Amino acid sequence: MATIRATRPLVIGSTRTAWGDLLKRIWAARALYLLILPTFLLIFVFSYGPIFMGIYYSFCRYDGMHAFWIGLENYRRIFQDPALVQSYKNIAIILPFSLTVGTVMPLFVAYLIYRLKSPNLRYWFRVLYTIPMVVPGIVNLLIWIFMYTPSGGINTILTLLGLEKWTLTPSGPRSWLGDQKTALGAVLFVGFPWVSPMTMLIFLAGLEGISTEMVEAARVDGATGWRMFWNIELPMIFGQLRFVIVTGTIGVMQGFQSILVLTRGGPGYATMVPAMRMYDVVMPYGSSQAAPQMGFGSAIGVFIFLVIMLITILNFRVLRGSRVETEV
Amino acid sequence: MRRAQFWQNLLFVTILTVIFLISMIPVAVMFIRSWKTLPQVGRSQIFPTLPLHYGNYIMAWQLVSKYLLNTVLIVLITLLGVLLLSSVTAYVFARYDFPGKNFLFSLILALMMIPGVIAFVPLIVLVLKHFKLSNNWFGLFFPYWAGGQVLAIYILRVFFESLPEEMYEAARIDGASHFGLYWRITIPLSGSIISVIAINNIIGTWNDYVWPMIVLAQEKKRTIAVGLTFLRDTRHPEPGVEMAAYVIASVPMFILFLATMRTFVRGMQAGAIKM
Repeated sequence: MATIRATRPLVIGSTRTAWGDLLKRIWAARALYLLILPTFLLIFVFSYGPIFMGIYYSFCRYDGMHAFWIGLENYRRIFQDPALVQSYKNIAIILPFSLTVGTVMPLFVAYLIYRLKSPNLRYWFRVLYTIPMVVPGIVNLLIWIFMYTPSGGINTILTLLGLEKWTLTPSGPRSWLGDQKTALGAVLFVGFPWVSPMTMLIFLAGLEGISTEMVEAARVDGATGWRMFWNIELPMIFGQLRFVIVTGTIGVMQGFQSILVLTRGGPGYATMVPAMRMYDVVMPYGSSQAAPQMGFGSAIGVFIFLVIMLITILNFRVLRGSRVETEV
Repeated sequence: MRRAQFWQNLLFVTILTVIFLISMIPVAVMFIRSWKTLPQVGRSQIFPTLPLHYGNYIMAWQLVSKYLLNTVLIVLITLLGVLLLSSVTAYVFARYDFPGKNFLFSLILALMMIPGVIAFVPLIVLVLKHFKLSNNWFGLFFPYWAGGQVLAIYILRVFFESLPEEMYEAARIDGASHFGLYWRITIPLSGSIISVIAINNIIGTWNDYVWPMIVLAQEKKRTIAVGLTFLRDTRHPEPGVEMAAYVIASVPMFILFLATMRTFVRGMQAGAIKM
């Protein structure tokens, strides 16, 4: 180890390095490579490996035993599979809805907290709104399942509010997740009022980072209330806003845990989303003793990945455009 | 002006309180139902009834305690691996020069920007078929270690680079070895950031559901998240037991939260960088 130079990083004088010299430097650093080897072994096998495997499988018919090359067949199916076709319609509703409420509600709460005069109150509301984070995601979903059952919380609350007729169907009290007509709406309603603690904290940190001089200057110029928010405060947290939208989009597009727990895409395909279908074709369920379709599943994964990339690029384009206008 | 401000404050506090109370309804319902017997549930689905009935918790504990123990072990082993791997790798990248450094680091960085969905199906094939890790906790550990270290390396490298070089210089003059520089200088100075990463990792492992369900089919190896969904599917005759189990599953995170409030919040936010 003695030959290793321990220096401040990032000054690598490799421009003048001849091959022999380079080899010598690699040999000198052999202990360092050994130290980072476990990290890279794991990454290559369990992170990069599956990515390339997935791209390959997506061109194969693969039941988990034998893989046959079938070219673009899987990708053709992506546009014909009835469950997937329905899932595109569903995600076209879910994505805009989740992004809107998932941004507006946390921002609204963060803004109200930010505008409170008393530091004590600010602190306590911040803590209060953080508490829901400790409830494991799965527990939260399971409670919501109960809320939606025929004798569950939603129907009880609706009856209390005098809206009993909403809870009734010809075949008895409504099962919100089991009813074709209400299932998608019920899935969207999960988490109401949608104040994600994490998003709220991100916005709050952004708002509290705005320099007081700036706000004071705007106030002297006569900006108040809505104009202050729209012209000063919102542009100042644009970075946070873009971050929430970009990561939110990615999360919604590839997420299926909540659908898997709530409805498994049903009833019928009423709540199917693309990633849920991907899971379904590789992990056949219940009475359908279908063979797992690893090739088709991989193709769906690659497809979702490409769509995410496309949306992310568009997101950055659109959101960057508006930033130039608002930047001071 | 003063008056107007008071009323505005009151209005904001009211709105914030109302939104908070509404968002707590499901959690409150869980808690209330966990103290009910079957006849009490019949009397009122979501409102408290007396007497409180703690027997649900005893039954629920018998059902989920093994899942809890499993989960605690899995969380700890995952955490140890991630901390060890990421701190050593981040230290090497932060404090040393070697050929190919930037390229190798970009390989790690790139993983933060690649959505995991593309690797999901092939990872099942890799872990269950090629490595034959079905019903084996290592089927969780390997992907958790591989995935968990990425963000940690990125955060730790930035932090390790910011540590003052004079400290290292002084230690070297005193004859510290490379291991000494890592173990006696770097790690002790990084306690706060490491605990943030630890919390982030603990929350992630504790809450993971899809992957453990795929890997661990056997009942006795399940994690708490998987165990709870199976508990629901078996429909315990006492509905309160189900809810008591949910409460029990939330308690460890709640304790962690109370014990480390500030770090807990930072740990949650650290995860937000990841895509």
